[in-house]
Amino acid sequence: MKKERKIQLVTDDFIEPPGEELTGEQAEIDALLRAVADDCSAKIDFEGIKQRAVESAKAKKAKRGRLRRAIGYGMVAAASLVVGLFVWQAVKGMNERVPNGDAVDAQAAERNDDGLTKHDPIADVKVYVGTVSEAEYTAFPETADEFFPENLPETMKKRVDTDAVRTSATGTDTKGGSLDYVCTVEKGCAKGLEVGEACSEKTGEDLWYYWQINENHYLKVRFTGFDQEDAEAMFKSLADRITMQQKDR
Amino acid sequence: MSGSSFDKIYSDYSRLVYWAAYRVVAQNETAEDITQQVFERAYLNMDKLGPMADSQIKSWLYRVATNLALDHVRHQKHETLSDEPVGAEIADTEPLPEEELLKKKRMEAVRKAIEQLDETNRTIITLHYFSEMTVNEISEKTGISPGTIKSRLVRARSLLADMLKAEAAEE
Repeated sequence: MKKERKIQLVTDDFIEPPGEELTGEQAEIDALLRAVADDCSAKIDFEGIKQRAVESAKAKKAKRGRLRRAIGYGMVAAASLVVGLFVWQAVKGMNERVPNGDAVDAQAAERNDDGLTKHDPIADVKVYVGTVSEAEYTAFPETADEFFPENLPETMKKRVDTDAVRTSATGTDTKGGSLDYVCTVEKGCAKGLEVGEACSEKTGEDLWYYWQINENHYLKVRFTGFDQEDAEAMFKSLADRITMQQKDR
Repeated sequence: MSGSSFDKIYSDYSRLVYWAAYRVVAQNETAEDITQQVFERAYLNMDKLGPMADSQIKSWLYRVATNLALDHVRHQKHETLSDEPVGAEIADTEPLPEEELLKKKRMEAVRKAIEQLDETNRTIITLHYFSEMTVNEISEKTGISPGTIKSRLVRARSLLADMLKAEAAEE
């Protein structure tokens, strides 16, 4: 009966069979080469390289840890804000009901003394953190294409006037009605707004939005031919875009 | 990750990595930078490297070193590469004893002779003597069979011997 021998590998490394022993000239050159290689290698500051490698790696690890923590805190803060806003909106909605259960006219309740519809700043700034500093504002003329909401109908034809920081778009809706969008950056203060606040007003067919982006400038946006819900969504998209672009710079 | 594990890897393979990089970039300082980058990555990936077999770690280090060196060369494409010879050193200002001087001269002659080898022989010599790779490892890296590697080593040594004899005869 054939006896089977079990061969067990001790390591994963291939164990080379012993080579031929070098003699004469081959042995001499072999020894010389080893000496040269050892001599060259001895001159290299391997300890220094190791130290720098470890220090650099540790610094990178620490930086990644800080970034992960910052992202974590940011996400918790953002989630808390969103939850808080939902709760606030729900409470606000409840408080607007009259005792017999009918809802009041939301627009009438929100009109200020000038007859303008004033949105609560917290509700409007929830996505666009609120301000663009003067230093950041100087970059605006270079980024005029930021002044279009992401959800603006694609069929609308866009125009940009960087000298005046004015963007506009025109088009038609599915029923053939005209659609118009204009966005400008104006100097001064709008409608008594605080920095970061926004408000809206309706005059005829036009829906106007004003956003006090810093102490000296405000954004003025007009939507014509859009219903209020769509206009509001586009304004928030626009503000979100501007704020995120500024933060990314 | 245990500190000793990284230390062992560094101790065992720093020379391999340095000369693998040097083979491509032919500059001491750049080879040192690349060596540093390789071991920085090794340190950051010790959770993956630690459990690996020695041969896998060696392969990984060699591959990273070569890739970083090639990236460097690509970026330096339009600049003139230095003609720095293998293991070039800063000249000693201290006078050496005669024996030491003779030894140094012979080693310098060997270094110059290596530079004069064709690329294939120079690669094999560098990988075997400087990076301390075995015949099988060189075969794996170069795609040349172990038998051919062995023959080429013999041939390269003979060529170097001839070059050294020729230089000695000129003096």
